[in-house]
Amino acid sequence: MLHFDLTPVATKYSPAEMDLTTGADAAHIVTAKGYHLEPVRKLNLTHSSDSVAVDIEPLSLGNENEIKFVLKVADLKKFGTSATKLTLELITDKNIHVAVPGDSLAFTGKK
Amino acid sequence: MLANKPPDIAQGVVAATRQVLSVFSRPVDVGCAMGILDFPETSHAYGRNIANEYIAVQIVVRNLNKDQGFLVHDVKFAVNADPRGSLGRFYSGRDKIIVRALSATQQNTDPRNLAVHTAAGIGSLLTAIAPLYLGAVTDAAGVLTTFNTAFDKYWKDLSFDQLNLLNDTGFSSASSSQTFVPKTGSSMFVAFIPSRQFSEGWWTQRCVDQIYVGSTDRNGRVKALASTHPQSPVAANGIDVDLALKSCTFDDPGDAKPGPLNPAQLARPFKSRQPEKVRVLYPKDPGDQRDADLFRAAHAMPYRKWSGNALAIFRELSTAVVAGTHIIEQADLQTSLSQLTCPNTPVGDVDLASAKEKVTCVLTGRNLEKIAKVRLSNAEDSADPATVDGSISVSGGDSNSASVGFAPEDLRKLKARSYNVFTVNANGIEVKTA
Repeated sequence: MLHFDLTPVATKYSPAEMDLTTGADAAHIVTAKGYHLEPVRKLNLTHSSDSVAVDIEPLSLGNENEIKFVLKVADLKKFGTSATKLTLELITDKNIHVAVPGDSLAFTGKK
Repeated sequence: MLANKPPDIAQGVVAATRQVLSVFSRPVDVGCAMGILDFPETSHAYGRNIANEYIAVQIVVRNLNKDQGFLVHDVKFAVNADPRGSLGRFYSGRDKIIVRALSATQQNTDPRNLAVHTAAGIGSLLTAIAPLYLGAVTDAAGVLTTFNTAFDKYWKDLSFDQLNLLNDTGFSSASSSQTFVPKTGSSMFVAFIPSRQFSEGWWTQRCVDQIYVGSTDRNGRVKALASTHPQSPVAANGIDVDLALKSCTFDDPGDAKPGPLNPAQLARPFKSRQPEKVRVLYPKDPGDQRDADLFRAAHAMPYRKWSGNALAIFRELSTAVVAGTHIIEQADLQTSLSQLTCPNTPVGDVDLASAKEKVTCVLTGRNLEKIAKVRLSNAEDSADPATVDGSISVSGGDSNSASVGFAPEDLRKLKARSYNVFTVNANGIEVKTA
């Protein structure tokens, strides 16, 4: 018998970089690709220095391999101007927090 | 002979001969040994009727092959009975099925059963007539009944045990009771050779019981004694077939004398020694009387009367051959999967995160080359139709080890945590692994 971990795994985000200097009302669609993404309900952005978190509802319920979020520039203002790198965390319908490991999963924002 | 044939025919004959010889070539990993049971052994083990008719030969077959068993097809026995040295032919022993018929008759004809049944019959008769005569007859009937009860109880009827032993150890070529030697194992069985055909063999005669004690020169002086002579075959080997044969023949060149001209004279020494008439066959050419051949009636010596020397010489003259073939047991042809090792996470789950093009797992088991693919099926929900197949790769000719590759994208679609592993053969038949 083989056992599998059903925890959501996101291996790729696009875009990895985005220009947040546009207007406050500007919004960017972030697409996360991976697998077991169906139960993901939130995207949590954190920054270690100021311990601020922002929960973002997905644009729609994801399928297995892909989920989309809308990031508004206004939401990212909470991190101040010093933060340039935000860590992403997926939160499932059972409130399981799944950290996105590795550099490829880091979210970089420019202000 | 082939030199006179066209080259293509000669080559064909050579090739065909080689092919036949290769089929019947002796396997290097099978050995056999034989031991001849004497009359008392055979009689006690299998019964008197069988001992009277057969020479029981114990055969032990060893199979040193660790991968294949050995199925015994036949046991053949040869005795080099010709004193002139020509080799005897091999013949099959009697099949157990035939010998068993004799064993069954022992329930009636065995001496013990004859005695017990006769006593019981007399007892019944006395009991029946006792009311007519009363008195001593009644007493005798009572005593005989008691005696018969004890007689039957303490002189046990062994015919059933003997029949069971025959069934257990007797050799049969019948498909219903074939003898199989397991891998790296051995099997013992007993072949039954009809003994009557050997009852006139030269080694059965009393002459073989003469013991060689030495030699003399032509003047009659002893020149070598067996107990002291370094070349003494008696001292060295105990039994010597050539010396025994010598003591049974009278054509020693040292005793050669001019042959008698009169056939009556020729036969006289035999007449003085044997009561039977000696038959003289004259040569076709009446002018050459030296070449007359002499015959006498054979002295039959049944197996039960063979002496120790006769048994020892018979053992030396006998050869047993076992015929059979290596076979692969059905169980060994079946595929089995004993272990499936995949790249795992620290908690023991299949590691899908670091998989690139393929998730490769290592299979260990048997006959893995017969597995077409490995199939994963939901262990938590048997109704789930979603399965994932992995392709098998056996390398290096080792069918006990293989690798199976799963497409990561297929594994990532699986909905359950646990999946059963099935092997699928070329015909699409699934077998669940342990």
